[in-house]
Amino acid sequence: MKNLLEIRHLNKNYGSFALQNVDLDVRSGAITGLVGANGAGKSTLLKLVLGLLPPDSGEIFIFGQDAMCDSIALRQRIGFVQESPTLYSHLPVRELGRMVASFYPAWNEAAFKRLCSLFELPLKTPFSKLSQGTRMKTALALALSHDADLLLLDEPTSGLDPLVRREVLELLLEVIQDENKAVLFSTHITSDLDRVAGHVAILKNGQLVLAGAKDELLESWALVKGGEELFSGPLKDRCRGGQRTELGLTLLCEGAEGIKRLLPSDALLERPSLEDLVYFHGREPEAPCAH
Amino acid sequence: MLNLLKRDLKLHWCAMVLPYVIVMLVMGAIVISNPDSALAVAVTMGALVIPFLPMAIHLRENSQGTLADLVALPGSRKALVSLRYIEALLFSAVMVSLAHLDTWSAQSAAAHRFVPFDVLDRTGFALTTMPLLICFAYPMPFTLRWNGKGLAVAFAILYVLILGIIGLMRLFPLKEHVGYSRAFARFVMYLMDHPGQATSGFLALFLVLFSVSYLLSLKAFSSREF
Repeated sequence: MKNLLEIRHLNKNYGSFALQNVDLDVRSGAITGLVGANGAGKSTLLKLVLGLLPPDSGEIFIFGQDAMCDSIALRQRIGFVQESPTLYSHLPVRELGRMVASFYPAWNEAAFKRLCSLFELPLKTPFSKLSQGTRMKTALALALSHDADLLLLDEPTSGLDPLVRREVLELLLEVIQDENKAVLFSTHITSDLDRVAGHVAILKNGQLVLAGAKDELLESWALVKGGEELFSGPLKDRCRGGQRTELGLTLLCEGAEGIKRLLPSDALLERPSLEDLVYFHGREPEAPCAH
Repeated sequence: MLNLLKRDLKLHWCAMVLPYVIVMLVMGAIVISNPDSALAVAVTMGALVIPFLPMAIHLRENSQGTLADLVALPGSRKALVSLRYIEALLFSAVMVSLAHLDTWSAQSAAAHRFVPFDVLDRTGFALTTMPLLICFAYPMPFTLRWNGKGLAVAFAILYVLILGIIGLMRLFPLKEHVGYSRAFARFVMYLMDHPGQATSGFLALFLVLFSVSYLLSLKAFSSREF
């Protein structure tokens, strides 16, 4: 597996928000999920990779080439879906396909037709008259029809119904059957990543707090539930976030191995989900709500 | 570049054709009412509108939110900037051709014979189209960088400059019997009498300003955020 996308020490400052020192690799033959809450910096990161935003500092390499070189050949190998696609509103889906096709020498009309049929896209309806979900499906069909080596998808499953969402995810899995291709997929719906992502990067307030192979990440963290004594015991050093509720304390702890022996007898040890990692990491345990 | 141009023609044909139709109708009316009117009048009518069409297309893309999609497609930002300048030249060339055709047909109809093409006043072209293309070149970097706001700022700066020049003219008047307006009229008459010099002078000025504008636009658009 090689890195199709490499991001090194990337910084972008907006004043009120800053993407800070992001390092990320996207490997071929895998789906990398970029996960974080709304406003964490996912779209900003993807826009930087797409060249829609110039970085303040840092480097981005796509297929080993500097992404800042404004290369057409490089962009022809990328498929992208932007959050809330705003394609040409008066054009019907079929015309959109024709228009986008002229930019990609590797455009596959048969693949486009297959995707239109799979997503049940109304070919003659103007884009402006499509529902949010159908617009997203149109953008996906366009992104997946030119045999792109790297797919950059910004919240591609938002607004899709569960059935189509599953179809889209299966399609992405199909894409990475070719081990020379990769997908970088931003979302805040962690269940989508649970299903398809091999690698995960978690963004929080503009910082990449965790990144790596999904299974390794999940195995190396533990969720501990118990009473107040948890926080004063030996677990405190391993704690990277948590939450205090009326029922007790939930802590996200680093290094799942050997943690069991540090636990009080009444504490519960669980494997965290991706959502738990996103939710608890860096979160200060708060005082219980007063009722 | 060709696919970008084709794309614009497909997406914005209405915005392109409509000004031509309006300008042609107005020009037709002027030329029919006075077939001897200088081509300059007709071309001015067209040139006032047409060189600004690429700017209108850019603003339309921006307001529809499709500019970011366009920038993300395989095509460099340099190509996008070049496209707008090529469009300005292309649209103006079409306009000038139509203006010639309009005037020629009106003059031919009035003379009840086909008037040879070379009787048409080509100085009018030099005196109107090129300065107006220069007018396009001036606000283009502002528009590409800051859209409508940039265009407004560009015109505001121009307005202030004109006021400044008028102020300076009042402060430092020429000799009473000459006057600035008379000097300007003499200059225009001189240009009309020397079409060769006028054309080459405007061409040189146009090339310099157009190139400077293009380079500024490249710089302005390359650092733009979407």
